[in-house]
Amino acid sequence: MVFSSTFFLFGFLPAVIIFYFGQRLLFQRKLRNAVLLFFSYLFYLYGAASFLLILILSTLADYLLGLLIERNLKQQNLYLSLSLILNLGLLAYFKYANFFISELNILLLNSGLNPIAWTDVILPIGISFFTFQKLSYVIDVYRRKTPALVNVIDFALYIAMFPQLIAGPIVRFRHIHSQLNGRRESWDFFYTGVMRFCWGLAKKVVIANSCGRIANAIFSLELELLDTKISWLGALAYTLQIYFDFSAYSDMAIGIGLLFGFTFPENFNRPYSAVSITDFWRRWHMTLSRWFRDYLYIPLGGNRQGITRTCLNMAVVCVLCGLWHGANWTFLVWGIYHGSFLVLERITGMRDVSPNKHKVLRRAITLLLVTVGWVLFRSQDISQAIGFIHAMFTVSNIPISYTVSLALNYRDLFFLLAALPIFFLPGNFSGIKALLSPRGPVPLFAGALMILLLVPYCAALIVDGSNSPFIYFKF
Amino acid sequence: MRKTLSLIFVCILLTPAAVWLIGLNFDLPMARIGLQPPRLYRQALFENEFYLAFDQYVNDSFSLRSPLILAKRWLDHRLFHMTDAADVHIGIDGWLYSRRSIEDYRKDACSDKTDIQWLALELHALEKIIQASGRRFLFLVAPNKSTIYPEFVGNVPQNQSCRHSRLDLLNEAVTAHPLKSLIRLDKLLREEKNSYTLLYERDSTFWNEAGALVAAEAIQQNIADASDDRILDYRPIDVAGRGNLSNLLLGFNLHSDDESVERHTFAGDPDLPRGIVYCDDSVQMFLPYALQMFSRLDVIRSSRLPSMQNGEDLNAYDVILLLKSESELKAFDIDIDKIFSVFEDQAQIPGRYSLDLKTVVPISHIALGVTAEGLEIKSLAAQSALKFESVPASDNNIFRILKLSMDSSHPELMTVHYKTERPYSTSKALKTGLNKVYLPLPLQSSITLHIHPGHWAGLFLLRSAEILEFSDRPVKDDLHPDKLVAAATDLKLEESDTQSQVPEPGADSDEITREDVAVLNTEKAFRPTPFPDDAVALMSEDSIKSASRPTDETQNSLKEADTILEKSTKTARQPASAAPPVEKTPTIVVSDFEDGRIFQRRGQSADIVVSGKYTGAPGAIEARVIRIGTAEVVVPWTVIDADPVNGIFLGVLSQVPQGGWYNVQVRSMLDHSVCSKGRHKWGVGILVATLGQSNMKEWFYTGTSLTSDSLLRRFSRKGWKKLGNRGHAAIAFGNRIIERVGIPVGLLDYAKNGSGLRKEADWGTGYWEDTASGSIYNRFLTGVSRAGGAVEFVIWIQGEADAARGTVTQTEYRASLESFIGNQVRADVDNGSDSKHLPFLIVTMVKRPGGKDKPHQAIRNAQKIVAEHVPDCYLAATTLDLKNLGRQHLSPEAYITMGSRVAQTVLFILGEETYHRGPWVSGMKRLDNRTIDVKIRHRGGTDFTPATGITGWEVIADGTRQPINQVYRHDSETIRITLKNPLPDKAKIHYLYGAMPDTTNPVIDNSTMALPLEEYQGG
Repeated sequence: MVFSSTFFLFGFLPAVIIFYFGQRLLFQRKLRNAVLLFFSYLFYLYGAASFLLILILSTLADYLLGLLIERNLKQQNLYLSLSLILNLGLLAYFKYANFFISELNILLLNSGLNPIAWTDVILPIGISFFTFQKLSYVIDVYRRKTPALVNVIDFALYIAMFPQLIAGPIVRFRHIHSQLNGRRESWDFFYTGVMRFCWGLAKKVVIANSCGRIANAIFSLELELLDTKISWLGALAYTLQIYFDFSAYSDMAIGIGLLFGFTFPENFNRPYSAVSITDFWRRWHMTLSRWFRDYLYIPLGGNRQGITRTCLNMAVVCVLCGLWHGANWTFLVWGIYHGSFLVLERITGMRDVSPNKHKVLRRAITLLLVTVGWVLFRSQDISQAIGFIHAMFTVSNIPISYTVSLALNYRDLFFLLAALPIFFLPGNFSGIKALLSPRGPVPLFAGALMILLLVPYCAALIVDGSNSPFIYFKF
Repeated sequence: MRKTLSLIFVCILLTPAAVWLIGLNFDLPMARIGLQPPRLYRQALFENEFYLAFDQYVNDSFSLRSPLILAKRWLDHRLFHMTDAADVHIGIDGWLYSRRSIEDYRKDACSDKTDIQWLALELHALEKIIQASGRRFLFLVAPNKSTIYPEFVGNVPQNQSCRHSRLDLLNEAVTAHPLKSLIRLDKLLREEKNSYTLLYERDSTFWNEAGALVAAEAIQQNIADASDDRILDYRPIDVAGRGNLSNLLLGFNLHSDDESVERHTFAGDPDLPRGIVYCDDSVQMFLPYALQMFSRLDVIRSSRLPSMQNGEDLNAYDVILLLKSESELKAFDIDIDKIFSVFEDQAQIPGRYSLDLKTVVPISHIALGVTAEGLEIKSLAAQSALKFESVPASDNNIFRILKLSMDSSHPELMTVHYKTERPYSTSKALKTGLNKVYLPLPLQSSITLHIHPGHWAGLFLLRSAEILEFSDRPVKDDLHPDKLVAAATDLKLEESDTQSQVPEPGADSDEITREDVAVLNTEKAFRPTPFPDDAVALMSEDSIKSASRPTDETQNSLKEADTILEKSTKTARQPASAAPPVEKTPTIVVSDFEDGRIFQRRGQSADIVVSGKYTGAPGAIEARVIRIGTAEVVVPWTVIDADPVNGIFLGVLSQVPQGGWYNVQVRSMLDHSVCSKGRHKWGVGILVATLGQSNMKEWFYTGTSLTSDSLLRRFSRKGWKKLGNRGHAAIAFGNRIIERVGIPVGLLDYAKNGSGLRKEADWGTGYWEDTASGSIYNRFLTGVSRAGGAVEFVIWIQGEADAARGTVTQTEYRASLESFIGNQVRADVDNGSDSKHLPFLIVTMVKRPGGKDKPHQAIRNAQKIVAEHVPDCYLAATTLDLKNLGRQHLSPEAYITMGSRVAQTVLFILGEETYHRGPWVSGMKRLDNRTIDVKIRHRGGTDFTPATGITGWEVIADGTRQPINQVYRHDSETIRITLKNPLPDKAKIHYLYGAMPDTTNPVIDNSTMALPLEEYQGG
């Protein structure tokens, strides 16, 4: 189910609110986690009915393994291994088997051998996110950083909580453990959640989709129809789209969490204000970066085993981060691309330069590098990426094609321009915080406008079919 | 305040539900599908499709949908000067244009140049033959609004390198060689525009009264007597407006009840001519004027001339008008062969002479032989080609058409390549027997034509090749090249047979030797294809195999053929010594059939064309058929080619009995050790074409519980494949037939999801009446051709697309379906059955998940009427009782039932079963004002179930459904309906009516097939 869909907005979400707060009146919160779990499974059922059982069974398996790890110290390594094999095995099978077999078949065919007969596996939505959440739980229990949960409903809710089930943020167990039973719902939380959700909804439906239509039109062009201006426009449009799309989902997830008293970790911190690639990864998809840092980079040795090993560790993390996004050469190259700059910044010591030194220039260069990286990320294959980047960096002028001219309508251009300030705002500025922090008539008026005008406009855009699913759903 | 805003937010989320609960209807005519909720049951909860269907339902029936869309579209238009409406372009100063017209405005049609030139050529041919028959022909293109008013289009990039729209290209083509019948409306309208008359409304696609008057006056000047100076005035008639762009922009549903055929009689003046106009929607403002120029005017909305479905008699008209919108130019199809077949006999054609068939030159993979009947052509595969060289083409004085009279041994798709400056290709469907093919010749001094007779091995006989000349002036003698002319109009080869003019390859045709005569007198003289070495190399074993194997894309083989042609043409006139050198030990290689191929039987057997290549001198070639597994000889050694030449052997193995699987083997008659064995299995059996939309396509996809018989195959673009376990309906159907008749069954899978029958029902995936190149129908024909050209049955499961928008009436669908059966399928596909006509099995439209009753019932009624009225057309299965579970398609179990029922119909036609339809309602009897007895007649059964609680019946009086108390079995032939209220005198009774009737407890008979009571509408 997509947050920006008619059924979610006007069916599912009000139903959850009514049942959640209804049980609060009737059962004094005793069933609040059960209600949320029920709706979370319903949410997953709606989007990936045939995989619900996999989610439930793998959740139960990790629940039991967590308990076993805690209670059988002698065999905790075995149980941890079992959990890793189960989770990474499922992830590898569903996410990478198609890619691996198709590449292998190309090799076999080129070698004159018969290809392997294979029916493509369908990817269960959200598997990358909930697998990482389960792993973080099991590893944290193993490391004794958190106790194993005894209440299976609480544990299942942690894994399957619908706001962040499909596309994050990746919530660590230790961050939410206390909230599972100790959270308090309040009108302040609820209002903040409403605002955050509406903010995210508008970012997604109005801005991200507008930028997306432009980016799609340009990335669909034949390479020979690309010139300098159009390829840059496409790259910028996609740079804006992916940020507004993904951060919108995070906003909505955090907002929905707040409705029910949960505080999820932030996932973005104005990434396009980064002064280096290292800084970018501290601001972009922060929950994923932290996950890789804590569960991969540091166990590999982090930066404690010399510069060579550190660079190698960083490269490994970046390659795996690229592959985490999907089984495609473009994601792999994107990971290597970012990894190279991270290593470069580590070797040259650029990462340690004060953020305020040459700030404007460094922000511009970082943004340029990130934008080029998004071209790799967005392209269908490597050859398209190379052609696109070539068009960006060679001077040419071709009349704008008709399909692109259709996408460059006033509405979508207007919202693309409205999104542009994201490149120039200060690194610590937050629009939603500005809307929520100060108490007074202005933010309330703005909030009222958002609820009364923007939400209906978003609903109109959704029902008129000018909506598309979130980009990160496919990861 | 925060609490208040939070509550307002929750209220906004709950508003749609509240609106839905109180039943508030905004009553806006917005376009929507009208879906119903999918049925909820336990298993559905774990099926992704259920949630997809539910999501679609929610979107479609969202209570605030109409006002939200209306407001958003209005805002987009007013605030952002844009729209998401796919069919509308917003210009400047409030001008709206249809998006299709903007495609033309972009002047990006250069890639269509060849097609437009060909259109101009066809129009020339049309003009000449119609005028030669004593009629008037006029051709008008209604320019797009953007062509006359480009200044209001706004910022739309034009193609700077092309700078030509299709209309520009057409005008260019007819400027070089004037088309007298063309009235340049674009010119006239531009002139009229200069007088400050508004010719198109700002928010309409089509011209207004003033614009239409310009066209009408131009026609009047052309067809009226000089003395006729009547002033045309606008006499409004009841025509629906299809071009309102404002409404389209706001998302309104532009419903129209226009029929595709309108007949208007103008009572004012019986002396006026009778006319017929082929047109599109641009005709609507033009008609009020045009009616005054004719005593009778028939209006046919069709993109094809003559139209397929209307059966118009072109002989009945004095004037034939062709009025096409500029944006429709590309989608326009003229059937030259059909037009000429109508008019040729009565037309006074100024010149007509035959080409000497001996001038036909073999190019590649082909053997030609002159016989008393004509030129016999042994064509091996798609690469096989012959050519007509230096045929006199057309010029400004004389328009020429090449007419080929050609026998084909099987249905084929002949391809003709015009070797002009911009090469052009056209395809002609050949039927078994005599075909007349008309090829307009372009305006140039002479032309070479390369002809590929077909894609598969086959025998053809070119009986004659004539040039038809049309001229306004007497034909000069020097325009008849002596070398090519025979004096008499009907000159064939009878004379030349005795006087013998068979040249050696490479020799001039008029250099005849006594040896040539001798050769001719022996039997028939095959002239070897002058294979250059590289061409021979190209005909390796692999190429022969691939030639006889269906390729994925016909175009690929044609490209390959072109490559060969290029190479071989250079040496086409080499002497005989250029033929492959004779080797000491001959070799032969049979062209094996594709693995799993099924040949359509004729009676109890089939004639199979066996071909291959040889080297050396193997003498006569024999072939036999053995059964795989038992090695039983099914057909003993039989000579198939007594005198193979040119490295090719080809012949017919007659009377191969039905059954399978088989292997083919060939050998040299002189040396039996020189042999070749086919390795692939093939058989002779029943081919069934499956056409329609998704419920037909799902035959091959839904359900994995059955296992297909080893004799069952599916044929599609990918060739012959086993079905395995997937596809309940296909397996249930095929297995049941194989179980009874024991021979292979091949299902030709050419249904297309979402396809309509008529153009109005084209949702983007095509429609079956479209016969253009690349259309779904053409792909089907190509598939049939690849499968051998003949089938024994056609199954048709379609109608949803035509019913969905409610724009296709019962009459229209019936006319279209009848035409589709008669003028398309039965005309283009060879009848492999014993029936007089190719049996066409209609499965009436299944229960739908949503939609309005009336349009669905209209389609279903039309299907039933067609099944009853068209000979050898059958109502194969009534399927309304089958469960669709609220989805677009049926459940896997329902598909088993559907497949079995259609198989029952096939077995009934084959004489293996005594019935194939369920019981039917034979009458009604009103017992009192609350009780009705429905009398039913059985076919296969004797009784029915359920005894009580029967659903699906509706009693309607005074336009409302009457509450039914109960419906139950009274006796084995009576259903009793009792009503809660007294029934008025007049009432209608429906059983299983509409899009989604209640089929919880339908009437099912006790026959072994458990067939449902057929739907009923009566009073």
